[in-house]
Amino acid sequence: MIDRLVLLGVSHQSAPLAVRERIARLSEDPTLSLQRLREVPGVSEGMLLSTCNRVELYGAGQPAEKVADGFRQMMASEPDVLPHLYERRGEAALRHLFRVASSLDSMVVGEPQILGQLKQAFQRATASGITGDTLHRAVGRAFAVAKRVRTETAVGRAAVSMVHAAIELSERVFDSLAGKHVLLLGAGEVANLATQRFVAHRVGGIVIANRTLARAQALAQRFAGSGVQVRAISLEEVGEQLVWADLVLSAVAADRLLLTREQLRPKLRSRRYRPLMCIDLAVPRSLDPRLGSLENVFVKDVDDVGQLVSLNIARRSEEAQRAERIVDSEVQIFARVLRGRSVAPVLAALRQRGDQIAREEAQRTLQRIGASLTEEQGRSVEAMAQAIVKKLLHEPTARLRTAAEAQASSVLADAAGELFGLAVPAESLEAFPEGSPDGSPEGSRDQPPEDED
Amino acid sequence: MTHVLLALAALAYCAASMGYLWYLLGIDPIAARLSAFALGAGLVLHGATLALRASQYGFSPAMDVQDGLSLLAWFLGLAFLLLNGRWRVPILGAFVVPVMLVVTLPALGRPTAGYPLPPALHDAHLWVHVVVAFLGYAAFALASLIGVAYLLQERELKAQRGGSSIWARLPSLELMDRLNERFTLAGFILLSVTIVTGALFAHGIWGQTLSLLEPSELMTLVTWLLYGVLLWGRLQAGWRGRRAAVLTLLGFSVAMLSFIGLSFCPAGRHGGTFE
Repeated sequence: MIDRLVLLGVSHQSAPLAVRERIARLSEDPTLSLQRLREVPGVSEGMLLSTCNRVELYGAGQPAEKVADGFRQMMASEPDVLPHLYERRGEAALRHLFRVASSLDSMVVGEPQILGQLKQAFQRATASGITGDTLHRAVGRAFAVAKRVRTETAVGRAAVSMVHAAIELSERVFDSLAGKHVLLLGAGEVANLATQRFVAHRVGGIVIANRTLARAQALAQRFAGSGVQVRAISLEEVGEQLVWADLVLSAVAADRLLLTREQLRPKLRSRRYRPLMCIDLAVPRSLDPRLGSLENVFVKDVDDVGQLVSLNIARRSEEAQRAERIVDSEVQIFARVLRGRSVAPVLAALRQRGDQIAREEAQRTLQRIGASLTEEQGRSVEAMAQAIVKKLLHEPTARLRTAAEAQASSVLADAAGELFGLAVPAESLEAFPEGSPDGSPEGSRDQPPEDED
Repeated sequence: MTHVLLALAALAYCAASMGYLWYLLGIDPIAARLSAFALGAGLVLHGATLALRASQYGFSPAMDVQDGLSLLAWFLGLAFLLLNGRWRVPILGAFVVPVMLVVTLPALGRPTAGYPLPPALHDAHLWVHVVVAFLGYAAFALASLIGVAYLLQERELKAQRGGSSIWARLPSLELMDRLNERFTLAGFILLSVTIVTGALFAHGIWGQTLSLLEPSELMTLVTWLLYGVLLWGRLQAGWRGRRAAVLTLLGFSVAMLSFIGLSFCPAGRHGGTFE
């Protein structure tokens, strides 16, 4: 069943900066729908995960090549992303899903929104009735893995604490953020987190600048009525904001500096040399590090902020490695359990057959000599027949189970079926009676607030 | 008697200094409270010393450098208590109290006998001039020490790889800049009053308001001009932050130079024989 899992996707990890805008566009493409996903030949289950940094199609079906081809055609509306697509199957697809859910594949590792986005994607797919057992199990497990990573490692705290640390750092310049004006570059997950925090600090105003204006507007809209004025502008208008801004926070993916020393310098006089705190959470940098040489201008990058998070770089990568190990072991456990189950019908049939033979043979013997035996002796004959069959089958069943858990192939199971003349219905190899049918995978109860980006 | 009291005061300042440094290093927050008590006790003892000396030798005890510094330290301590009471910045005690201690020490190392004031200076108005002058210098001193703290915090924030050094615990730049401005302004007003009262006083005694040949008076005017320019820059040109902190320090250096250096000049109205 795990071998039926197919993933085709594109994300900030696989695509260069220049293509990322295409990903964002693709994620808004109406033709990229669950309806179309259902029509892909060979697909029996499907799910569409799309954020501004990531578009991924998950599916279960056979043959996998055909499914992947169908997925590829769905993404053809943005030809630029096609060379950057990645395709994963089986265990590799499962691992990717676990890593995405755990926010190990995110632009800011540990940001929590992706889990909510995955949950929504799964709910939408379930609502349209194209999720089945494979996705239910895989996504449900992915939520559990994400929860483990969040509770057992410090990875999950990284993004939230980055924003927190950025604010703490600003409070070394400003006595209080109340009434201060914030210029926010970017409209992604981190920008959303930061806006929440700034609103809580009752800042004087927030201007969100983003390459895609609509996205900035959507984020600003979400904070309408929060008591703090939140406006959206495009990146080109940033220069005009430099006179009144007190704090610039950048959380945007950019391939060039969005704010340079030369841009800010002429504004200093009209700013009356008011302090300006520039915090660059973006990698690569989006704010000129030379800004710091200007009077009363301070610039901090992601490493400076990271230091405050009390997890230095070594420690952060250590935490990420621990999280990766959790993902690895979960993938293995999951795969092993599934394979162990794939041999279960064969084992059950084998045991049933043995039982039947023992009972029949004992019956026959008892019919012939039953009159001369006491009731107790009769029971002994039955027990003996059962014991012989059990002993005989013990070794083969144990070996079958170990072999199935150790490797994906079902050669031994097939051979056993063949040798013992067992009729195992092909469908039952995929059937899992314990599947969660209601579309609420385990671990989904305590998801972060739903946030889409 | 005054020596014993002053020694005890110095001891209290010493304890308070260590307490505030302890607090600055982030070892124990209780240290700040204990230090405030020690500082208060020191100020009471120190105040008693000053009062005794004043009653013995006339209205103004500030007739030599040691006495002057001692009075400056006392006012500085009072100003800090005021500052801490209003803005809750005990950590600045680590900058202020050790300086108070150092400035008080010279008064301990000299004969108890004071200068008998020349009859010409037995004037009830003299103490206004002296007290206002020292209050002004205490305000400048406090502004300068805040300026030092500002520069340390600023250097830390400007550094490309600034981490968790102790200066991170200092108040925000914004607050320290505001405090620097307030105390500079207070000092400037007090210094202006000093100059006016001094001129009136001199007119009464010597028949001449201001003598630019008198080094102390010349330096005082230079100080006044320096702080005046600084305040003008703050109001008009938006000077602030590092620039203002550095100028405050410069102004205070000039003021101290005129106070200490020129007091050793034998002749003059502000030192020596008061002829």
